[in-house]
Amino acid sequence: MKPFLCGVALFAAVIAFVVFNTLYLDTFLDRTEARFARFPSSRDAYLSADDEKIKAYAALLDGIGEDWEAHDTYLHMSMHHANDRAFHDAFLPAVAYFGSGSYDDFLASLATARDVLKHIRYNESLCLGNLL
Amino acid sequence: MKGAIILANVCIRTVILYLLIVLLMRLTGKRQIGQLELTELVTAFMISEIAATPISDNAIPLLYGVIPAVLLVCLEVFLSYASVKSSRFRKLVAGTPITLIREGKPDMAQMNLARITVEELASAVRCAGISRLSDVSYAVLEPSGTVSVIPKAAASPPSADSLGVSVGENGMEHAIIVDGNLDKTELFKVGRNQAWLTDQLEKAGFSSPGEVFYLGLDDSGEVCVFGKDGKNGKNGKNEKKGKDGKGS
Repeated sequence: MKPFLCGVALFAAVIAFVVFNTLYLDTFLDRTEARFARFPSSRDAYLSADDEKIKAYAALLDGIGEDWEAHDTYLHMSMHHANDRAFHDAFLPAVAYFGSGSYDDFLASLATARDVLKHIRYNESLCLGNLL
Repeated sequence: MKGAIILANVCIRTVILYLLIVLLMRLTGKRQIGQLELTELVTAFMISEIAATPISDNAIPLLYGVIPAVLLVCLEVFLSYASVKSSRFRKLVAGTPITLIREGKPDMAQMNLARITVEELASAVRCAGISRLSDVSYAVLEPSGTVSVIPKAAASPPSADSLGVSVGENGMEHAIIVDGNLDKTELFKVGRNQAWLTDQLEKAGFSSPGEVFYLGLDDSGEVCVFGKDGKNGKNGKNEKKGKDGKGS
């Protein structure tokens, strides 16, 4: 009976952790995607933006970077490290391009980073494609 | 330096997973170590494969090995529990024994069903210490995969019962001192105490448990003593234990 109860306890702990992890990662990805969605998708929007807006976009980029860094250990523990690397590979150039005013390259890198997020979300989602 | 850090990670991951798998296998019970049934075999194979992946690939989170391993062991525990509670479920998961030789005659249909050749059956019979198939009364393929062989009465070694000889039951021998270390739990479990032990040691010519390599006591009261210096203590039947744990 004791091993059975231990098994039940372990099983419940694993399921609880998996549910928590799904909700936590979902919230984190939602938050990050919402921040990305606040960037205009045309180059002209940046060229015509005043200093205040450019500063706000820069702060938004910093916010995404800081949030990701703050969750780095958790992300390394819960998802394949290649996904984390792929996001950094797309996001860090985007920050650099934004700083140098190369908005075409910035938008391209931003799109890649958003694709990585979509890829992570798909990989972690519970769907038939992933199950099979 | 970076290479050394990666290797340190591999070492730490290996230790964590090793300890975890040992604990998990402990949870599945001691049967894992001996004869494996089908579900246990599947669990053991899958756990070994799953645990190896995060050890060899640093880019895979440790949890990717830990969570499936824990889940597999939980499933194994649940299946074992269900098997104990329901014989129908047990038959479904573990299978049923197949009688390969019945009343001295090989059952070809059952052998075909179990995909066992005559050579394999003969080998199993030889492993059981019987040289001829004709000496076998029953051979049964157990769900664990072993073949139980029951010899014909004429080919069986005579027992005390068949010879009409009366013999006493020795029961099990309990190890009380092993390599100089006294197991007090075992001593009290067999209903003896320190005074009894001192008395036994003196009788055997030893002054302390540290001088003794092995001291065992069987259920009939027989004491077996071996000294560390190679000398054997005086073995002998001990008096029956009294209520105070001393010999009466």
